[in-house]
Amino acid sequence: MRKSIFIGVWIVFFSLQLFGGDKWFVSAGAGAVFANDERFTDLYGRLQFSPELKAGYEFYENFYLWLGYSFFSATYTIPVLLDEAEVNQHSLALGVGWEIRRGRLQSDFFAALTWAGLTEQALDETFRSSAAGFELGTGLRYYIKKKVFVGVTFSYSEARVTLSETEIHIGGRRLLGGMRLAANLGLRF
Amino acid sequence: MGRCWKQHSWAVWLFIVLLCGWPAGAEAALEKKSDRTPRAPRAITQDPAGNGAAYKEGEVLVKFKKMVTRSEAGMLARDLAVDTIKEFALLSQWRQSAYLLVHSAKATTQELLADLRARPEVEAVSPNYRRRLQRLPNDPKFSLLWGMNKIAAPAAWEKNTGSAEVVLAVLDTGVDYRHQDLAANMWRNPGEIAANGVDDDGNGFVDDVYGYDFSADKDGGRDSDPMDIDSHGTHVAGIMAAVGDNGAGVCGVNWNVKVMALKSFRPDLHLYDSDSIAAIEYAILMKRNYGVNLVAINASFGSTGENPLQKDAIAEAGDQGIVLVCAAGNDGTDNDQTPFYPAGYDLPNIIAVAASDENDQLADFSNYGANSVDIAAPGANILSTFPTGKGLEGTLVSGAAVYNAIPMEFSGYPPAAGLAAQLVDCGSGLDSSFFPAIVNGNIALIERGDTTFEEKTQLAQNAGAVAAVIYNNGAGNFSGTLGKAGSWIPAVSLAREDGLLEKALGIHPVTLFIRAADYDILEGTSMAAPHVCGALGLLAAQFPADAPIKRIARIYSGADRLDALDKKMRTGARLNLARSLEENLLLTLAVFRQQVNVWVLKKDFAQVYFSVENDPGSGVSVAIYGIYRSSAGNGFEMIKEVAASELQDNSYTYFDKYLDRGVAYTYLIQARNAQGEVIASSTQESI
Repeated sequence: MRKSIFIGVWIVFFSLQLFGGDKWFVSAGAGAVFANDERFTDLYGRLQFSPELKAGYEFYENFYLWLGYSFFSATYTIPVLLDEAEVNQHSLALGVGWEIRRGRLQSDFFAALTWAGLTEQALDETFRSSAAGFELGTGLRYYIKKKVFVGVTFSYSEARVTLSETEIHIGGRRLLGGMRLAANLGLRF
Repeated sequence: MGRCWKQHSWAVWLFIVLLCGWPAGAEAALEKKSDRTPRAPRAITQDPAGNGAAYKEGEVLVKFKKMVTRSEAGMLARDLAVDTIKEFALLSQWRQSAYLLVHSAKATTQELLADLRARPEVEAVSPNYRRRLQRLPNDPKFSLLWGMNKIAAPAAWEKNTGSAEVVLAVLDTGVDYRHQDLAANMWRNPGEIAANGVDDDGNGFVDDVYGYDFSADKDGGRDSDPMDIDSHGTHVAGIMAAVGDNGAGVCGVNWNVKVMALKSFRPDLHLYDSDSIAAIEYAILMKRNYGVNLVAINASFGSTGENPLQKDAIAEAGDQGIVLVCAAGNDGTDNDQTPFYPAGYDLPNIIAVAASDENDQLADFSNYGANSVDIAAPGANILSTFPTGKGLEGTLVSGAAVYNAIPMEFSGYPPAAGLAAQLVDCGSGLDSSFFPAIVNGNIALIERGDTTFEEKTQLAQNAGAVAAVIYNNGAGNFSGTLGKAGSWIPAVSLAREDGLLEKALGIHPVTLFIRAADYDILEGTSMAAPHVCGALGLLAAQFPADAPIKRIARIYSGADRLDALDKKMRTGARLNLARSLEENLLLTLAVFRQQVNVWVLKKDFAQVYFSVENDPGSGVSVAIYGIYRSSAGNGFEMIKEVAASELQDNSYTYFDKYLDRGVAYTYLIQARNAQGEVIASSTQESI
């Protein structure tokens, strides 16, 4: 009990310290992903719609840490058999960014290590795998109010999954991620 | 009075029916039966019981019970719309029951049968079956042609005995075209004048009258004379096409057909692919450019080497509508494991034929293959034509009995006048103790089994026997060999039944003859293939408009499924000539294994395609098609039921999703009628 009280007090104290001075931001958005993998794009299409969430904390004069999550899903109807195949790619990113603000405009550059995963459900089977990768990008924000901004980001992410040939898996390398152009709405606090 | 009524009740009933009762009342009753519409006129219908019998549609033979009351008769008259065509008055009187032939213009025979059977007044009913003459040829050796009876050839010959418009080719050691049982059925090139040294028809072959000799057997060159250099080709030709009903020798599957001789074997009795390709090329040329109605080529040869050029030649023949009927091989091995060519080429115009024996078992020498062999046909102990005077025939005369005794290979000869001696039972002749002293100077009668014919004959010879007669340890006769040439006493084989009869007589005088003949017995898949090739010829005569693939389907559909052949070949069946010639429901199945890939995952699936052709006269109506699958040696299970109405353009494609890698699957289609009875099956196709 005493321990719980101590942790609660610590969280409140820490939050008060952190949430001061517009050091935090969160944003939600959606964008278009131009998927990396050629075979993927042959089957599921090159352009995918992808929601994203992002949060950041300015830890030192224009430098911020950020955490992001994005995903996209696609389906493919297998010719002749008319069965549906479904794929899902998601990415969890943890990185740093640098931002500079001039009036209502703010631009930033960011980089992150990612943990990307894929799930393919087809042919009465489910395949799951994940791999580490990276993401690089830049963005432009416009503050429509003091703490509210809209922005666009352009980034590239990549993670590689290498598969050995099995009875149900096609061997070889798969590229996850791709070019992303996204719009988002965010809050600074 | 009561007894009198009992005795004559049938007559009273008959009187009522004939003079006043039947038509009006019955017609009225029929009106109530909304499910009956006037039937389409059809004279003859196949019995749905699947017994192959045919009957006259709309007619039923009825026998009434002796005790038939007026009211029962009246009810019958009201309920049934039948006319009485004939009263069997004498039989009715003698048997004290009414025997009638009745007819309905609206109800089918099956409907009438069902209605009548439901009546307590009726004791027995039957369709008015159509019977046929049991047409057998008058060829004196016909009774020895067990294979013809096994494939129901006599019933087939009721429909068709062949056509001179149909040509079958024998790619073999040549054919004795002067043979008394073949000469009339030899193909003659109409554009060629014999022996004038000129290529009259301009086909590139000089004096190709009966065919051609494609083997380099004369100073390395080829010639126009396809005369048999052995006996194999003549034997094969006789199975396919020995003239039937001519009072001589044997008859072929076709009594009347034309045989093109494509001699391709060299004097060492081997064939080179170059020779067979040249022969096939010639056959194609004659069909394509000279209008010869060549239906099939018999290819009773093969070995394990795959030759894509030979395959191409056969494929080209297929494109020209020529079927190649191939022997599966005589090594007793599995062609799936050790492919045997040309039987093993995966081409739709190839039929690979295994050999069956008199007991409908796979012959012990015959190759087999669930995926690579198609069908079986008689191939053990087949009597057929031999080049004139080159055959041997044996006879054992015992009192009034005359037995067919088959000379063994390398057997010695008795005197031309016959070898007269006592026949002495020597048991199974396994060692010298089986041979009593009295066999010295006499003929040893020995049962087959446990050791070789060579050893049994040697022991008999050592004991002083002047001949050995070895009778079978199973049904029927057999042909044996003494293994190698030598100074052998005459040795013949005898059917078990005949051997046991002779054994029962104890020691008694017999006379053994072995004479030169125009006929002899050979066995092998070489002998099985021409039964099927002949069947193609007969089908071409019966159904001249059929595409070759349909003729093949008829052969497979009509074949007899046998447990002994199950999973040994694609049909699991032995040729049935009569059923192949029937108007039939033909199911053609093709299965393709395909792989589907998505991004990461992949799987196999089967594309199962079947098509249906229902001859107008088949008399069958399909309600449901079942797609069956077996794998890993398990039995078949139905994986898909397809209503007849689901077929489009008489075909259906089903995707069997998804298959395990490395596992073989076998598919089968069965058609069922409304009663759930299987009325047709496809071949079994494996992937």
